[in-house]
Amino acid sequence: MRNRDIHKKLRQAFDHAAPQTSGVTPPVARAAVVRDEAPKAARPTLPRWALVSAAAVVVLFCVFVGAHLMREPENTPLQAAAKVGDSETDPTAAVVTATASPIITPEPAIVVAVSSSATPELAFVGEDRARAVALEQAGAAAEQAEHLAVRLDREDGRWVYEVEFVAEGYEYDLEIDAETGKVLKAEKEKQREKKASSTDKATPGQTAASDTIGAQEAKRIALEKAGVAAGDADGLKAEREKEKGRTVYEVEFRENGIEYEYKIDAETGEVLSEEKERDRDNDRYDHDDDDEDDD
Amino acid sequence: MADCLGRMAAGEAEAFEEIYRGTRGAVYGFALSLLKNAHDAEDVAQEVYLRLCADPKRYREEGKPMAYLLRLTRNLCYDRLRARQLRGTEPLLEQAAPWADPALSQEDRLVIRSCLEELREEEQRAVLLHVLGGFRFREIAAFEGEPLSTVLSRYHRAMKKLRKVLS
Repeated sequence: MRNRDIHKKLRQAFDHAAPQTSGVTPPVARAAVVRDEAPKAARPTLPRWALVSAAAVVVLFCVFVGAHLMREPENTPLQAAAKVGDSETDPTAAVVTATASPIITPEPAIVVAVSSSATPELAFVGEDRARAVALEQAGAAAEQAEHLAVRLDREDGRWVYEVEFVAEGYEYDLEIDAETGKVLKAEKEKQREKKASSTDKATPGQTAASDTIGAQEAKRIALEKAGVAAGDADGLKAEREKEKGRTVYEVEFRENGIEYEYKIDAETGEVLSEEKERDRDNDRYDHDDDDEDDD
Repeated sequence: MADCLGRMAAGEAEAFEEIYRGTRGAVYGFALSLLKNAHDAEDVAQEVYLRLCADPKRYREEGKPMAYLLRLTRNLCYDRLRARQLRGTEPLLEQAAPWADPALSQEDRLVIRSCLEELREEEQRAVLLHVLGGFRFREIAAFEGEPLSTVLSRYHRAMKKLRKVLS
C-alpha cells in the first residue's frame, strides 16, 4: 500500500468522523461593503451543487431547443403566414419572416471544474524522478539522504513534488515541478538541534551592534556563497533579526531569474540557511548554484 | 483558504461553510489525537471555529490559516488537559472511544483506531499535521520545536506501522 493510499484513508476517515456541521453561526457583515445589501441578505443560499446542476439543465435545454430550431422548419406558423402574404412583390417579407423565427444560439457547454482532488498523475514525472532530481540538486547521494519524503501537492496553481530530507547535517526542502521535473525551489538549512527543555533558562542579553559582523559583511558573505557579483544582484538587502536567542542577518537578492535568501549568523558570519527559488515569471533556472557545504 | 477567510469576514456564510468543510477533518483529528476523547475533541473543534468567526483576520498574525487553526486547536487542547489534570484522572468508562461511532464505516473506524492506538503520540502528530493539516515536514518541525530529521523519522515509522495494519 502506497503512502498516498494511506493518506487518502486518513483524510477520509477523519473527515467522516468530524462533526458534519460546525454548530457555529458565522456573523453577518455589519458594514455595507457592496450595493444592494437587502436583496443580497435575502438571497437564498443554495448549495453549490444545486446551482451547477440547474445551470447545466438550462444549458442542455438551450442546446436541445437550438438544435431543434436549426433544422429546416416545415410549415411553421410564421412561414405559413409569409406564404399567405404577398412575397412576390415584397422581398423583405421573406427576410422579415426569416428573422422573425426565434433563433437561439446554442451556448457552449459549461465546463465543470475538475475537483482539486483529481490529479492527472499519468502526465507527471513521478516520485522516483522527483526524488532523483532533488538529490542531484542537493549534491547528495541516495545513501546519504535520511528519511527522504516525497509528496505531490498543489502550490500556486501548479502541481509540485515536495521533497524533504536530511543529509550530512543539513535539512533540505525542495519543490519539483510535477510536469517538467524542474527544480522550482530549493532550501537548505543547517540541521537544528533538539529544543531545550523547559527547565533551561534562556540565554540573557542581546548582542551589541558592535559585536556583529555588520550588514555589509553579511551581504558580502551571501553573495560569495551564491557566486553572484554585487553588481549583478537586484534588490540586495540585509535585515538584522533575532531568532531563537541568536542574532542573524537575513540577506535577500535576485539574479538571473532566481531569488536568493540567506541567514547569516551575525556574530560568526556562518551561513545558517540558504534558499533559492526560481522566479515564477522566468523559465530559466541556473543549475550552476553551489549547494556544497561551505566549511 | 485565505480568500475564503476574507469572504467570511465580509459576512459570506457560504465561505465559512467552505472553510469548515475543508478543515474539519484536520482540526477534529488533531484534537482527537491530543485528547483521546470524541466529546472533548468536538467541544474543542467548535471552540476553534467560534474563535475563528469572532476574528477571521487573526490568522494573519500567525501566518497560514491552517497553521493558525491547528495552533489554536493545540492550545485549547492543552488547556483542557491541564483542567483534567487539576480535577484528577477522568474515569476511563466516561471516555468515549473515538472509533466507537456506529455511523462510521468499518474501514474508517479501523483507520482511526490504528492511528490512535498503534502510533505513539508524536508519531500521530507528525502524520496528522502532514496528511490532514497539509504541513510540510519543516513546518511540523518548527511547529513542534523538533529537528526535521526527528519529524521525518517519526513520520516514516508511523507510515510503516499503518501500512502493516491497514494492508
